[in-house]
Amino acid sequence: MPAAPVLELRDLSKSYGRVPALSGLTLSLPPGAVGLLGPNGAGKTTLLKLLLGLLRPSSGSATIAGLDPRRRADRLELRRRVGYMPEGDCLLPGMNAVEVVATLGRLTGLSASDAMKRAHETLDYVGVHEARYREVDQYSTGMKQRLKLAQALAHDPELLLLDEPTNGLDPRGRREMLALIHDLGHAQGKHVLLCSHLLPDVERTCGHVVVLDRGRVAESGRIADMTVSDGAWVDVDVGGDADAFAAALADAGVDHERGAPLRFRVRLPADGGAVADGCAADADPLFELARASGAWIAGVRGERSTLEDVFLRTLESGGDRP
Amino acid sequence: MTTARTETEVYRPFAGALRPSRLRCLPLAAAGVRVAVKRKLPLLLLYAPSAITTIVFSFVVYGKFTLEASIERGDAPPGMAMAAALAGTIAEVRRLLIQALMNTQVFALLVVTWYGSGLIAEDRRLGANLLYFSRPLTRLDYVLGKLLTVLAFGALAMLAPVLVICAMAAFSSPEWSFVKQESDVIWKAAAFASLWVVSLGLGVLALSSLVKRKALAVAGAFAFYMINQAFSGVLVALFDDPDLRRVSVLENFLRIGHWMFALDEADGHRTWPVADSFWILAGVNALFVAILAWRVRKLEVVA
Repeated sequence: MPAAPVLELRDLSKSYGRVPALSGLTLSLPPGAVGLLGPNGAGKTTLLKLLLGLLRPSSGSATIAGLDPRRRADRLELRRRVGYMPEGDCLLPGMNAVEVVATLGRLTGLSASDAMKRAHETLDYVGVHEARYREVDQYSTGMKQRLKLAQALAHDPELLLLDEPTNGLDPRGRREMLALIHDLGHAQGKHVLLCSHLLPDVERTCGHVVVLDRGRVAESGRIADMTVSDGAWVDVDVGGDADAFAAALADAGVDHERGAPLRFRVRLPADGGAVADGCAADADPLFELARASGAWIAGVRGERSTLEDVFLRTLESGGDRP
Repeated sequence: MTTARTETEVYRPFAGALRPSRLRCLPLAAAGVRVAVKRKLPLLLLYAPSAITTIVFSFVVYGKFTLEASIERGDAPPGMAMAAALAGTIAEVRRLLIQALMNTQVFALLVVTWYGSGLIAEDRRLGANLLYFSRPLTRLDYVLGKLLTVLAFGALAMLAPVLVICAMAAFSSPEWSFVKQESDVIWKAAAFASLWVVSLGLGVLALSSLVKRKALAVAGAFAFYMINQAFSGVLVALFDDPDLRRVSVLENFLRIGHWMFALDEADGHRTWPVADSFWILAGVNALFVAILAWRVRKLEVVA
């Protein structure tokens, strides 16, 4: 039975003047780590701000765990349950990192001692050590990103809304940030909505993705499902009479390329389904052909699309896909 | 603040519970005060005049009553003459207290402007509003938090000196005579100081919400109070009508102060009805509140 959605959007629209930012989004997001992917200007940040009640929708509604940010009481309650990491440089002036996290923790309802304890715990977790006593105005971009993640975690929220968390990070910092997000989404049981235009970030940390394009949902689903290519190309290692196998493929009208004497790249017949996660059960027609041609199949590996393929394909098709 | 490090680098779920409070503005105000007092030099420079005023006036008040006590003990005139001397001393102390109050008005203006100008402007510049309003904080909480910060500094500059001098007078006067005879001046001084500081605080915060730089807000605040003062002077000179001083916020405060403490208006400078001053100040403060409501709404709901 599928888990109850964490977040539901119903015909959600937002316009800035006459410029539409989001147009009729209807969507349910499952628990766990979800990537919100889209080019710049797709409406990702607008969606996050609508979810927090920082923007008012032009029409439609959004709910997080049943709470509607348009209602004041719900808005306050959901802000207790959500941790938000904004995109830009957001700092509390004149404070060091401990004070920033502790102050924001206090505002969320932590007692003074709990807020101070949580500040140290979350700063440890994100890897801000001695620098935590320096004023945050002096921080590098990487340190600021870590601090923003720490403040989002101060009150141990159920849901994290992360807006471009790897922006401006060097490769090492980016790797560490993604490791933290992966840990939060998978090991710590947090629901994460990761907003990014960087496909590898989403691919590495999320199980589910929503692709936004010009304010519309262009694609949505499990990444594992989306990255199985429609044509289902597979790499096949054969033993025995490889030439006879090649001839049998040709006779059967199966698209194939021969990469090495005993290795083929084969497009599964349309009714052959896909080879997902190493399961070759759907490649039965190939086994039949091999047996008939006196060859045998030593291995079948599914060839997956990357999320980038899916993303580009989606954008090229103008987001018309269901 | 502890410097201990756990160095765990594992995520620790929070085992306690969040305690939603109605006084959400208090942590914000406390954080504002904590940040502001980090810089010691402005603190020293801005509070030195208030502190000096407090010390000097306290000593003078103490001296007045001590002198009177020595007269009482020694070969001073007995009976009626002694009572008259005490009454004269108390009246003199009352005058000193009001003078101290009026002097600290200017210091409070400096303090409130300095500490209040950056409170919203810097939040806007650094995007802190996104962090604040992603928390369960209402716009009212936010404004109250900022206002309490600025009131704390303003009260320290104006209310605290008055209360210290009053305390000195109360403890120095024989048989609590100052408290018994002049209790009204104590609460009136406190009320006047509170009115001045709250009005200043609202004005400075409103100006701070309109700009993104503290320096601009400081300049705006001084410009606001000085320009309308100068403008009222020009109007009085042009039309030869002293009642046009009403245009100035400061003059209206002086009018209210003189009315509260029954000061002599022999110079004929502020003879308009005091109700007018109350209405004018109410209007100005309503304008400040409206600006704050409008700008802070834009801080929370960013579009």
